Amino acid sequence: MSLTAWLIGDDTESILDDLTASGGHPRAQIWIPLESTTHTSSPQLRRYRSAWAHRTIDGEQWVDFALPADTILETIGAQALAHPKALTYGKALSSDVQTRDGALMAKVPRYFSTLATQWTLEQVGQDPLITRSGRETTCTTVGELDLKSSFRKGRGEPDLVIDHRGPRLLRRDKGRYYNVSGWKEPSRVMTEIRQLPPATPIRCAWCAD
Amino acid sequence: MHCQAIVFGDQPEQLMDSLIQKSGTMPADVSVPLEVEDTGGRSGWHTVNDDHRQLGEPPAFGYGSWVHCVWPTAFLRDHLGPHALLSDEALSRLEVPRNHVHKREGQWWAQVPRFFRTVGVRWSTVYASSRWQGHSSNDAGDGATVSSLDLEYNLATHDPNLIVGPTGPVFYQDPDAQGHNVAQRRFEATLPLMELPANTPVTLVNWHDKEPQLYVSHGSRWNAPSPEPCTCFDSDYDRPYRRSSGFDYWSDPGPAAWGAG
Repeated sequence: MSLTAWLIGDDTESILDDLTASGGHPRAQIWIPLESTTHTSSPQLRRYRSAWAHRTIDGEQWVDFALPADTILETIGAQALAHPKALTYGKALSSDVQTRDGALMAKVPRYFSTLATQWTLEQVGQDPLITRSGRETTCTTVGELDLKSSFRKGRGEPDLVIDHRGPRLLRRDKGRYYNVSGWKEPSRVMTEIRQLPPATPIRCAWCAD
Repeated sequence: MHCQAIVFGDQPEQLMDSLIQKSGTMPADVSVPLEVEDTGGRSGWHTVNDDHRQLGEPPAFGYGSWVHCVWPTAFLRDHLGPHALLSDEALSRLEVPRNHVHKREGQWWAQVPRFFRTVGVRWSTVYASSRWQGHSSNDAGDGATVSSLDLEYNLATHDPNLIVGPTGPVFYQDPDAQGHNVAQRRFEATLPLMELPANTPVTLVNWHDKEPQLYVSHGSRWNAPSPEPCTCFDSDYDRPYRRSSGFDYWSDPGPAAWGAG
């Protein structure tokens, strides 16, 4: 799978690094509880409960898990790349799963999810940025960017938009961007980019599994 | 996508109905405990509204809330048996309508399709196909049996995504996914069925993984181009409503190793 990412502002490469699982191994950066549930005395079905299971692949022991948005939001913050009001799936090496203070915890990437195993600023995919002069490029500024042409709304929007607040990922079947705090329409994302200072750098990166 | 299946046994209707969401209704054949836990893992869930559903294929229509359920795959394999269409991952997931989740004797249960997931939205039997041939080169469409079936010819001719034995599917290849070594795996999965009694009926079936309107592109380059409408969706498509299931798995709470969580 290949993704096109927009990096907006300075020092956003580190965010893309934290979304990258080199060699298929997600970075172990933040501890998060693996066993969470809503507590209620109501006889109704509780809103959520996390799940996990062990597995072994190629001699490595992993724990796969599914965690609710509330847990990810409380532990990692609003910038986490996870489905709002739903479960998000992840995995950790068994060595990064421990019982700490009586709670089963896993060490997960800074934004909870990873999207690729490598990324590059060289144009290896389609849909680069387009400047106001009509030139295709991988790097420009917000002031020079032909935002409408570059965004390719409805045809080839960037899969991932990263700015100082963190990443947002496009879910193509819904046509909206998301992180754990909620959904955002592409038009809103475009408006936010348009409102940035003209000198703000914007680059295009390509991510691959 | 228009797909084909070969079904062995004298009850192709029951088997196919359990694999298909007719009229957008998810079959609710089997009860699975929602809270299970042992040293190898535990199950979970999240109630979601329609906007937060994550699994859309095939689409199940409904109103109000859904329950996105997750179980350790090993537990489901024990509980549902070897024919269940489960993930290769450690966790297998399914979204069921909220009204398919009930509390019984202090335990929450989710009702799921007999083979855990469904693969399509419509199916019909192929009658009198001139391409459905037996060993004698006669048309086997009306009354093929294990003894008359030319297996290799029919696998090559019809390229079925689904092979179903008398007790459930033995091979399934997602039409939207590139499978690895599909022909060989399909042949190996089907070959044991040729050991069934010689008079076991074999049926060729058409099935679709999506309703026709869902093939229409949303304008994204990521969606497959819309194919020609298929005659399977014509008005004479058989039996719009699913028959009630005759399967009763309610009495099987699963292996004792999996306790209530």
